Parts: sequence; structure tokens; C-alpha cells
Amino acid sequence: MNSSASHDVYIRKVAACFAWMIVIHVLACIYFTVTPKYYPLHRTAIALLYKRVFLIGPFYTEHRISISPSLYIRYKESVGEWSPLVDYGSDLHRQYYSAPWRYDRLKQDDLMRHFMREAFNTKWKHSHDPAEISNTKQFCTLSAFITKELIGKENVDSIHLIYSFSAFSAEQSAFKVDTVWNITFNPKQTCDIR
Amino acid sequence: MTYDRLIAWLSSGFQNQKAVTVFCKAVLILTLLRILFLWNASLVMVKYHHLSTPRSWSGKIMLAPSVLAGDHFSLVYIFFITLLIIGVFIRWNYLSGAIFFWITLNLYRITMPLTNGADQVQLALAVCMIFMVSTPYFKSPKMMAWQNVVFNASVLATQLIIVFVYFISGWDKLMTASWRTGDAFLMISNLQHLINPFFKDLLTNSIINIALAWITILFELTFVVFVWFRSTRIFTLIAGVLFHVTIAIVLNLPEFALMMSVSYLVFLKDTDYVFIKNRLPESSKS
Repeated sequence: MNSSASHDVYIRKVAACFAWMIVIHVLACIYFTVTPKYYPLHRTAIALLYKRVFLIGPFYTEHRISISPSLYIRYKESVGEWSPLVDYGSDLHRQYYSAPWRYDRLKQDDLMRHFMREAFNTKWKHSHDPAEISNTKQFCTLSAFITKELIGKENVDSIHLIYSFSAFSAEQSAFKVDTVWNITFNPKQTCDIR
Repeated sequence: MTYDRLIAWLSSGFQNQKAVTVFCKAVLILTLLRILFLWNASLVMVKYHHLSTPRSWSGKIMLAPSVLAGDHFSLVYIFFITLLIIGVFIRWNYLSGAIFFWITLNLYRITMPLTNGADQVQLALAVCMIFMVSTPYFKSPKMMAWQNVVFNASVLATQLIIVFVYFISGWDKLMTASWRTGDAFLMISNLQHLINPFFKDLLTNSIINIALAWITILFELTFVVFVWFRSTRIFTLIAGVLFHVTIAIVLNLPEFALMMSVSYLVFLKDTDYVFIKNRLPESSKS
């Protein structure tokens, strides 16, 4: 056997190793896609690696699109009256539509909703004590973000948040709006996270 | 593709070197644009999203920029931009691949609360791109054989990642009643943080919603098959670009649309570029 032929044999052996890896990868992807989440292997480290890196999605799953959260904010300075309730998310979107290169506006809305969601999730852990909620890291982050980035005023004395979910009901084929959190707080009395 | 054809494809030289190089550079340019467009939002975010220092030394080295970004955000981003610009102009190699993965990993960590499908796709592409080096790196024929097969395998792995993005999404939709009935689009019309108000009313029509839902399901599931055949590949990719442009406009997701469209470049062949070049007017060729 000449050296060229032996090289061909070697490269085909290496290719065979990778071909098997690819076949196993495809089978794993199909398995994690079509089988229900309670099936074996779905909670293993391999499944986690696949769902993070190799098997991206699914997008627009029902549970992600069925609820639309909204956050309305009003505030009062040390002197003066309450401001009107503002949906800052819609404001940020409007800014994006008038200048589509300001994509960061949409991201700022994403960030606001992320902080709101994080704070809301802690509400359930501390629902027995409102004072405890306002001292959680998540609530402090939300408070600081709203005060500095959205309202942008120094002398804010009180902030009123109304967090609502608009959910789709398949039976009635209609949307139902629920206020899930209605809270007023003094941002100066919540912890300073930085 | 049968097993023998797969082995032959993996072992017969570097497949579509030019097309793969274009793909790698395009991903780098897109990352550069994403950094620039998201600069303001990332700057706001690092103020509130405190990143801890990893305990292990390897973790500290790998994630050092993300930790530094908390206090020296601009410095870290300028450093990344510089590396990406250098990466665009130099020949793609293992070092540039590893550095790109390092940048992507750190960007992913810095912008964690803002990450979306585009970031996940970029991370997956960055892993595969490390191995997409077609410049001969080794003198030993055995090592060259490895480099050759690893190159082809990483290209195929990237293609499979993109294909499975559609398969998992299409399958999930097919298995979900609200997608089959078109109600999913009615739900989407209610997502204030996503929907472009201009299209909101359009998505309240049940007939349009059923049609859109099934077009989406069929596109996602047929992409998985048609992208592999010579006769349907280009049409499938063009349909994919149109699909993502529509999503970008209707659902305000330009980032994901661009990332998916750029990822399609990995499906192109060197001959496609020759075909395009031959059809360009003489003046633009020069």
C-alpha cells in the first residue's frame, strides 16, 4: 500500500469517527425535540447542553405568547401632585418606530420588563411581608432602574406601580386583563444596590 | 445523504472554503454592529446587573471582560470592537476563532438579561466557527487529515444547528392547538412589547391567522428538508430571509432576523459565489 492510499484510509477512519458523532447528534436532536419533557434524559447534563447550545428554540411557544404583561408607572415628587400613569414600555416602542436605528430603546423595554418580572417573582416568596419585598435585591434593582432611567428625577418621593397581565382565553376567544400587583413605595427607603 | 456519501463528503478536502470564510466574516461584522447598536442599552444594563467573579482561575480568565465591564464598560467594548475589526481583515485562523468565541461568551454574560434567540444562535455559531479553519496549519499529513475532517464536520454541525432551530420550532407549533387553529397569532397581536401596532388589527382576522399559522408551520418543517437539495436550496434560503424580514417588521425583532439571515451563508457553496459573480455587471466585478 503506498503512502497516498494509507493516507486515504486514515482520513476515512477520522471521517467515520465524525460521521458517527454527527449521526448521534442528529438522533439526540430528534429525541429531545419529539419526546415529551418527562421522558428519560431530558433532565440530564447532556440535555441541558443541547438545549443551551445545539438545540436552540422552540420560539413563540404557547406559554410565552399567551400572557402580555404591562407596567404602568406614576410618581410624586416631594412637592407636587401625582404624575399621570405612564406606560413607559409603549413610549420606548414609539421612540423606536420614529427612529428604527434606536434599537436600544426596545432593549431598554426588555430590561424594564426583566427587572419587573424578577421583582414580581420574589413577591410570591415574600408575600407575607411587604417590607421584606421592598428590601429584596430584585425590588431594589427595579426601584433604582425606574427612578434613574425612566423617571430621571432626583426628588421622587413616591412611586406607584400597576403590573397587569392580559391573557388569552381559548374558550371565550377573548383577552382577560388582571392587575397582578399594585404597589406604592418610597424609592428613597428601598436599599441602594450599588 | 447516505453514510458512505457522508464519509466521502467529510474526507474529500475542505468543502466550500470561500463560502465558509464569507460566513465567518459576516458573523463577525454582524457582532460588531450588534455591539454598536446595543451600546446604550448595555451601558444602562451593566449599572444594574452585577456580575460576580468566577471562583476558578480558568473562569476568571475566560470571563474577565464581563467582570471588568461592570466598572470599565467602554474600555471592554472598545477592546472587543478592535479585536472584531482585526478579525474581519485577517485570515480566519484558530486563534481568531477562539477569540471570537471568547468575545461572544463574554457578551452573552454581560447582556444576559437582554439575551434572545440571536444571542443563543451566535453562541452556537461561535463554538463551531473555532474549527472552520481551512488554511493548512499542520505539516504532518495525519494532523492535516484531522484539520480537514474537523473543518467539514464543523460546517455540517453549524448547518444542523440552524436546521434544528426550525425543526424544534415547527414541531412545537404543530403539536400546539393554538398554533393549529391560528389563535397563536391572535395572542401575538396582544403582545404589546412585541407587536408592531401597524399590524395589530391584521392579526385579529381568524382566516388570515389560520393561513399565517400554517404557512409558518410548513415553512419551518419544510426548511429542514429542502435546504439540503441543490434544486431547492436557494429558494428555501430566499424564503427564509423573507420569513425573517417579515418577523423583524411585524414583531420588532431585527436582531434575530439578521442573525438567522447571516447564518444562511453557511449553506452557500463556492459555486454560488461564482454564479453570482458571473451575473454581476462588468463594472461591479472590478
